[in-house]
Amino acid sequence: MNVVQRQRWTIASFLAWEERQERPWEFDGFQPVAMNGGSLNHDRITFRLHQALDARLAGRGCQAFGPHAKIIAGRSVRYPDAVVVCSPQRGTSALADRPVVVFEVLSPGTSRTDRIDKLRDYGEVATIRRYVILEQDSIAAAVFERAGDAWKATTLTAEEVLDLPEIAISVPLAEFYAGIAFSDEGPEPA
Amino acid sequence: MNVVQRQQWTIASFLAWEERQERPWEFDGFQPVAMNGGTFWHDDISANLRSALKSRLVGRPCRPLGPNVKIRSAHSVRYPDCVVTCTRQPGTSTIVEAPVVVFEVLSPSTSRTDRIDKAREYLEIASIMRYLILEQDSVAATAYQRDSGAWRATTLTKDDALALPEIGISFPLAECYAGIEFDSAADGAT
Repeated sequence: MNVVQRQRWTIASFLAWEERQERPWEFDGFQPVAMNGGSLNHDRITFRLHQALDARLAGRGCQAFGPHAKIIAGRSVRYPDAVVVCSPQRGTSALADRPVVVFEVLSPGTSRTDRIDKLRDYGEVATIRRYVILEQDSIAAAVFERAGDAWKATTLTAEEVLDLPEIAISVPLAEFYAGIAFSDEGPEPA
Repeated sequence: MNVVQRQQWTIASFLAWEERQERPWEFDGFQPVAMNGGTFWHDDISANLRSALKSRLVGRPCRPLGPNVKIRSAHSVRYPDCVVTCTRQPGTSTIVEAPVVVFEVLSPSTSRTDRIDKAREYLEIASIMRYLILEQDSVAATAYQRDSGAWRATTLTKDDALALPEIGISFPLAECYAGIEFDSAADGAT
């Protein structure tokens, strides 16, 4: 038989390969995955998220990076929409070291990856204490907090506050969605 | 000022109103929400899930119901895609008492409701020990397990087992996706 043996990707071979690419790629543990562009709302929410984090973290030991900083998570390499670190970083590095809080803004195209695969990947990084998944189409979030060897899950809706005790800040969830209009209609009461 | 005071819905007024409707509606705590139809995949996954449960629960006190029966939390009324109860009830009932395990199959249009709102509501129903959210576009699921008044979250992918210790059964997650070919069907190509 004439079977072509394909070489397996490793994190090291992926990182060496990705360095030579023009655009960023993630590595899902098996193969490189192209990073796609997002919607205007995704862009807006990510921007507001960074604004909110930067404003509150100024002068403290922690700082936010993303969406162009990588983290190594288990067997994967990911570009979170935002990642907060509280340890000294090398400014020339492409990798954020010892991430503490990670954020993703959901997109229709990557929803499963964010909710299933990254939840598992980020669970493997012991320094990550909290993973926040922000909805794109409404003001809501799923918050996963490390509890022993598992995630404790809670949800947040429009009027609530996102508490990030690991980095000693709290942000009203609606702040991430400032300037975005969502519609909501239903029938009148009987 | 001439403000029209809108009457507020209650669970009682909703149930009385819904009884007179031709099609099922959910109540999200604020207003009735129309139940929409689903895709072939959604239908296939729900049917596979029910038959997986049904065949394993034969001769036991627990049984699967849904998607045409209601469950109620303190503030809402929902029609889960599937719900397992271990409590005997009259066949004329429309609301499941003491649901133990609840399942939803994700749809693009109701994804937030299933993941955010229902995750919260189902936690309020003390008899529900586990809430499973099945992906529609790939073999994967999120499992929420009740743990000290909160949800403990884990993810399942294609080679994992769907363990339901509360009702004493376990089966491969892939069984829910039997007969579905995601890759070839995704673009209609043959």
